[in-house]
Amino acid sequence: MKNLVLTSIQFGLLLFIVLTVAYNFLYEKETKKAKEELEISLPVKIERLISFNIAFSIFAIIFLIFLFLSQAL
Amino acid sequence: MEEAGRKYLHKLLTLPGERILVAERKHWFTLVSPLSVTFFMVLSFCVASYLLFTMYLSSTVLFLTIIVAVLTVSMSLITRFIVDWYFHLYVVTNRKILEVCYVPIFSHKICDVLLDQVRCTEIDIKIGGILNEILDKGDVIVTFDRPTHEEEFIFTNVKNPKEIGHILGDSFPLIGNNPNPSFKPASIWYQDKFNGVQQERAKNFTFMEEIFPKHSVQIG
Repeated sequence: MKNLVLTSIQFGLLLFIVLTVAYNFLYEKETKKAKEELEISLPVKIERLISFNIAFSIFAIIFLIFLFLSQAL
Repeated sequence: MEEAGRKYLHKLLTLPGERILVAERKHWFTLVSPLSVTFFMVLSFCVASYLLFTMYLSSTVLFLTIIVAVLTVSMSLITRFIVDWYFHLYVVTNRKILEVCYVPIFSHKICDVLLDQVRCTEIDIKIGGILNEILDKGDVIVTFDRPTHEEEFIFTNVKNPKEIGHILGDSFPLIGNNPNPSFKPASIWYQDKFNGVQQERAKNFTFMEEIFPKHSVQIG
């Protein structure tokens, strides 16, 4: 019973991170749109932060899948 | 003022002969409070999940999952705070005042005041607190007298409010050559009775200098 609850929490968190990745991609797209609409150039640091954010969230998904697989095996 | 804003904000200049006078963001210090709250939330989540999942439930995998999830969400939040701050602008041109607040995905707000439709009656600069004095951060409140009501436009938490206030103060009299006929001084069409009686009385007054032009009058 305890294991079932813990596994469901893990899957819930994984789903949450997948949604966050989707949000991050959408956010990047909308930021580019805002940049074009207002004709304001984003500083390189902020662009890097957005890219790093997406990269980190993808890394988080891969890491969690790897973690779950290693736990299952 | 901000040179970068002047270069890139041409899309907001929609009226003929319009040019940017001031383009300013909020002070960077306004980011400190949401970022520090996020940081402490992350820290408390990490400590709480360590205590709960490692000490009580003995599940290292779940602890790592929560840490990664919290870090991912906090990174997204931090990015959002910074981008929101970057896309929140106050722009003053010689024809209008704009507040551009673009929050990607969530909202999009552009408020503008057409200066030929209003009359600026007051520019207040407000810097409250030691920290704001040190950082040179404060509000500039511009009061407009509209035909129907009085309204305020507030530049909240901007950097160098005194300079912005001075620029606005110098610019508005030049802008104030209002082509709108409703703001030209109207001729008097009504005079109340009391005021009329006072003027009649004033005509009856004669100054001592007029009666004795060569004599000085001493009082007391």
